[in-house]
Amino acid sequence: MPSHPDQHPETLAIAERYARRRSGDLYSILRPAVALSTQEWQLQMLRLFGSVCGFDDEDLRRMKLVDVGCGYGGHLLDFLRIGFAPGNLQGIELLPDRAAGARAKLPAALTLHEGDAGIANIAPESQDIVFQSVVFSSLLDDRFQQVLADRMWSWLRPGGGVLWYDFVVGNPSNPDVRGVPVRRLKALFPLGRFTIRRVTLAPPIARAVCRVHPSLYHVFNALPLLRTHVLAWIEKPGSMARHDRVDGQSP
Amino acid sequence: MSPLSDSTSILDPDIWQATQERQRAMLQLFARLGWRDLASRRVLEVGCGTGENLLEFLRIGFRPRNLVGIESQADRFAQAMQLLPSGVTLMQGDAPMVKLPDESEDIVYQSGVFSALLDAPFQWRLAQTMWRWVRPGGGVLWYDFAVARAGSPGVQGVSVARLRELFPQGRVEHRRLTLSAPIARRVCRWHPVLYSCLNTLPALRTHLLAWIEKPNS
Repeated sequence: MPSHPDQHPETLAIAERYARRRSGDLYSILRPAVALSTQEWQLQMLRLFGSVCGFDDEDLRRMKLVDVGCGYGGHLLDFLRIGFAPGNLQGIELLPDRAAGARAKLPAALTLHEGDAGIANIAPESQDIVFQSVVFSSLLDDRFQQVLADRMWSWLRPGGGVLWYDFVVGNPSNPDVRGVPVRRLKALFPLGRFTIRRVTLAPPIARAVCRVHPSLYHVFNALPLLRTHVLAWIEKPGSMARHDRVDGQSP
Repeated sequence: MSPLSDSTSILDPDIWQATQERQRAMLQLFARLGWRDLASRRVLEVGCGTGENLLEFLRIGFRPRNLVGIESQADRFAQAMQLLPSGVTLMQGDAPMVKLPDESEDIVYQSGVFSALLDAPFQWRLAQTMWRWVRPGGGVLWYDFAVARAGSPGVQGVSVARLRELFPQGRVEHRRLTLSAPIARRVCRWHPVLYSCLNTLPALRTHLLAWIEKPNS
């Protein structure tokens, strides 16, 4: 990875931790446990957009979104699929091979920034949604977490929100990640208004029960205690309502 | 062209459940075929519309350079050009007129095209063209209405028997999917979980997902 004199030691540590990961096909979407957990949180996100945020198709087409730690671009493809416009989407990815993979998979009108979130030239209060998926659970430095959370918050327009999907509990077999409990999440965004959904059946349980039958995913997932992630919408309070922005009119 | 995308929103519970049901069925098919590495497989979509299905193929691991889309309508083609990465090959025109190498594709996909073709000889020509592009061991992947769409005289269902006529050399496996849209819309207003409950009744499903394999010999 490119080194930069201003690069935070945590960004170098993240690259090393990711380089240690050898998942094989453990996370292949062809595995029923992976497909079902992916669909579960996508479904919860759509519900959240529709019922909590009150978005409609026109909102999706017009809203600006940045994906912090976009990886190979899978979530940005999801956002395109549900109606976001390519020119309104941006991704930031620290690891060069992932950034290159994302560039190949995503349309030219979508802006990708390679490097840490500090290098992205994103104007304050310019985004409707700032999204992160399992980035914070890979950041083991509390101060670095707060710096990133503050930066993400600064990009949000009032009335917009952070869309968050991450572990709330750690993985005992992986010291390179740690869960981000809801209490910590609220400390990272002290001004936010929170809507929180507990999602995702614990992956080891999901893999085991799906070997018996995929429908058991839903049976076991009915127990909230067995869910390991949260999907959160963290709204930035502000006087500017959504339709004021869309229509450019005062209420 | 997606049969579910006109005058509907992905934010509607009935639509996202039907979409996810189809996606799961396709993933199950690829797993059953033993295709662990989707990145090496080639897909051609006939009637790719605005590119939504090709986005889904990218999302599950297919590579842009292995994807081809053909779309005849200029406005949809233009939208697909905006939505998809430059590595995806997009061609504008009627599929039977498009020149592509024979036996070059692992999957030739169509979603909602044949049910909108009311001209039987054109259906036959298109099916022959699609079959020519499939490599032995690959297949035609088919998602379409099996029954007529209520209130839509421009859409006719394509039965399994008709599917076998269109692809006489293919080995057809099929399953019924997708709770009837008017029923799904109505019950999801009560609660989204009712989609899954009513969808356990195959008679209420309106679509066919079929894999029509081209034998190796």
